[in-house]
Amino acid sequence: MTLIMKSDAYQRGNVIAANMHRARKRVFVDLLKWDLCVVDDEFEVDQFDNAGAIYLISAEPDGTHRGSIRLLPTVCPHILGTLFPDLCDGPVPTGPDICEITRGCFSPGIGAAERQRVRNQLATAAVEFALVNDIHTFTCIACGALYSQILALGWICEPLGLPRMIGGAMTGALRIDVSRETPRLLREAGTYVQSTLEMAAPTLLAA
Amino acid sequence: MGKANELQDIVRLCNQARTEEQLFALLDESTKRLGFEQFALTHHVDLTGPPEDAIALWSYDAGWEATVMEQRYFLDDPIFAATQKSAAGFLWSDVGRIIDMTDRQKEILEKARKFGLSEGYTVPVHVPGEHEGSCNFGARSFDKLAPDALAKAHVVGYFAFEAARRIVRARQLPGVNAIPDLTSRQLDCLTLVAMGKTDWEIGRILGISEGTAHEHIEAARKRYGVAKRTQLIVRALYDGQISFSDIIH
Repeated sequence: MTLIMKSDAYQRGNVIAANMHRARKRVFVDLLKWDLCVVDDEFEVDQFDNAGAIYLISAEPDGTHRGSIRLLPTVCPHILGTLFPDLCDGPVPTGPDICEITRGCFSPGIGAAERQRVRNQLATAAVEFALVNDIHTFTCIACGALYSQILALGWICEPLGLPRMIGGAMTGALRIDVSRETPRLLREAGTYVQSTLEMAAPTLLAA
Repeated sequence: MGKANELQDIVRLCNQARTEEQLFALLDESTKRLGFEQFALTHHVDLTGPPEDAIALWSYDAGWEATVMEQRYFLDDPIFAATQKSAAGFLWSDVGRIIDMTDRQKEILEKARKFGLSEGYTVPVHVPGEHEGSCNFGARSFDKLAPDALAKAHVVGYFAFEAARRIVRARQLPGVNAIPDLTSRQLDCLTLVAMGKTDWEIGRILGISEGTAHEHIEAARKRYGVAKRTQLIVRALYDGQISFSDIIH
């Protein structure tokens, strides 16, 4: 299942949200060696995990984390606008209908085939979330292989600027357009996954 | 022209490319504009008998391409081997730092120089569920490289690869997924075949001759390209051309 959650789920002790922050610590801090803030030696939580953040989380029924992405409204501080505006040759795209996709993360334990399935599931969920919430554009920062993988999902992308070397990887900012046509484009690319997108149940959220 | 415009132009042209020829021309022009001379946008597969979904667009010197095929260099090409080990783009002069080259691999790099491939830059393309791939840009020297050529090479490589995927998909779809158009008379006949009727019975029911009924069914069978009537019925049911409710009374 893919769940939509707000950031207070973690603060309220939700297991699925906590597992996501735990997986983010293992991926971004332990494996990728990014210099990020770690809470209680276990959870990666940054300044953008605030009230505006939305999470799309693919999880097992028992709450085991498979993969997740974080959506940040661009009318609030977000990564491209705050930390890497240089990746855009023009102004950083912002607006009520533009969200930034950040912290795309797969649990390190899952195999290649499952990774691919979860990636497709999260992309489909992001598109469905956007269509329901009048989001027309995603922005994101992609480094190395991820850049090509985002294009291969089949949606319409455009570079926001020239990639730059950041931390040893060629890193670039992308714009992704979302419209009623996007599900068809994903289907044609074979990356559409029949949705299981659902709001986290209130009982789960209430700790 | 601003940097952003130049990139957007390349991406727009990639998105518009509908054939391999168009994509080839676009890559060729971009390659030269960046100050390189030759390119290879390619999956790392057996190039002498590539799988149907493989992408291979090469502007490398024909003499080099022939040598690669004859000697089967693609099997242990040092650039391909380094691509497997590297998520980041790399200069060919750095390949020795990414992999321990065998003598044959050193020989391959040396021979390539004779075909104008002395210097080069490779953008690896790793997409799960797809053949390993790369976009390679070569030249006799890097003296004429445009500013930011390597960064731009990434954008060209990634977007051109995506355009190539789309072209390959479009080429594959018709044979595999298209549902053949059948006439209403052919559909009537198929429904009756599925109900176990003979050509003679079908003719009587539809008020046509046995021969005409036979012709309708044969025409439908050829449209599907199957050998037997049972296969035809299964496919037609599967595609929704005829339905179970029509044949079960």
